[in-house]
Amino acid sequence: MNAGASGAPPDFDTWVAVRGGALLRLAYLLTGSAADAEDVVQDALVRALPRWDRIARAEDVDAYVRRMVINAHTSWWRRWRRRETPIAEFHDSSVPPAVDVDRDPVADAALWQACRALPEPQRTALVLRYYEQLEYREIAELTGVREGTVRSRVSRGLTALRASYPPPVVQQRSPR
Amino acid sequence: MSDLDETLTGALTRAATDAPAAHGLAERARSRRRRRTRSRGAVGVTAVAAATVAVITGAPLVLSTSDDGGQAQPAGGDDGGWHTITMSVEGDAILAELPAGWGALDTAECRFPVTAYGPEGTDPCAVPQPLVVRGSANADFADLPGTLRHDDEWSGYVLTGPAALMVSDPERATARRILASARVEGEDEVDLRAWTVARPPTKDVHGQGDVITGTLPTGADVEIEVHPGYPDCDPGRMPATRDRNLWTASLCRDRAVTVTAPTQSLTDIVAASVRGY
Repeated sequence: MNAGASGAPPDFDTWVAVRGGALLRLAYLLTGSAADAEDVVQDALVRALPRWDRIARAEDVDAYVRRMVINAHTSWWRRWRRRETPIAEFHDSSVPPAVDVDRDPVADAALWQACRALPEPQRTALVLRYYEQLEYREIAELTGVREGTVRSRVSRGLTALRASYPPPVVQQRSPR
Repeated sequence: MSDLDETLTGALTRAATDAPAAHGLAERARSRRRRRTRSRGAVGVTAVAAATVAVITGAPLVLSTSDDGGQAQPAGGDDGGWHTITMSVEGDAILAELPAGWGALDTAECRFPVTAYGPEGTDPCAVPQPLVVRGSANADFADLPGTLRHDDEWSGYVLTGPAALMVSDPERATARRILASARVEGEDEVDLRAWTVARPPTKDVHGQGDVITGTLPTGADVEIEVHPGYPDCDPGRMPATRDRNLWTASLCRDRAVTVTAPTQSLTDIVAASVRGY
């Protein structure tokens, strides 16, 4: 979401109302925890708030704030200090991305758990690649590493997932 | 896309539906920002108020380590293996005391290489390391220096010279002593082996009878002064600032409290321990 039809940049509350859910979903996949996801997104928004007039005029506001969320997730300072704002359990009531109803929820849950168990740099690369659908080059820019490093992380992450997550067994019909 | 690629995209999309709700997110961010702004900005007002009161009263009550109500811990001659280390931070030599068995951790191969110390056998890459020393110029702390919080462990930080020292330890006394010992080379070493909870005499200030307490080392020249309050005082604590050869921190609510100690870190540690003001 960037400048509206009138050309005016989006105000903070309007932008957060529209894009906050997507930020929280990304943060949830990056952190693997609802509380940490809220913490990371709030941290990014707290930093964005006093500079919103300038951020709102950026060419791609979504990408700018998404980068802030990823930076907040990887911040050493956030890892050191305790969480500031324990929150009650909220679950997203806004419209989430469509989930294929034919998918096996048990298999999906198992794959998500395997993904959560990956080393954090590998999980971050996989989430940005397969959830955000970013190019390797974009992931490299967002995470501050070389593109080759991103490719390596994705490759190693997928290898680990293949090893820990068995593909669904194909039901063979027995001949009658 | 391979089968796993497609399966992973679907699994992540489904997992993302468990994310927290965005409802009220902007207001929650504003609320967090207000708290941060208040904790950083209000202390300036507090400083003015406390200083004003000190001039008006001129006769503060002084809490000292000789107070009978203290809970002194034994200070034996054996220091249990505590030793002093020297670190270089942005060209300044920073000293701190560490318990027996603690030493430097090799974090060169970690994702976040930092100057860290901990007990022998500590995983050097597990954040937070027991003691981390960094330059304070870009520090991003939510709490004031000296505050010790208990989550899984006791954690807190102090500032001294250009450095920030951050400690996480299961034992409050260990975390407190490491932090309180931080000093710039040239500042006097303080005996931190024993601490006491000091409290004021029965005579109170302007009829306000609540007991004020502060925890301070018995072997150090530390003073806590209590002054009558200032009506418009904005509650809060002002971190230590240098006052000639000493450091002073101020607290204010219905009464003003000042803490004076030989080093910045000790001043903030003691100021953070003051209760009942």
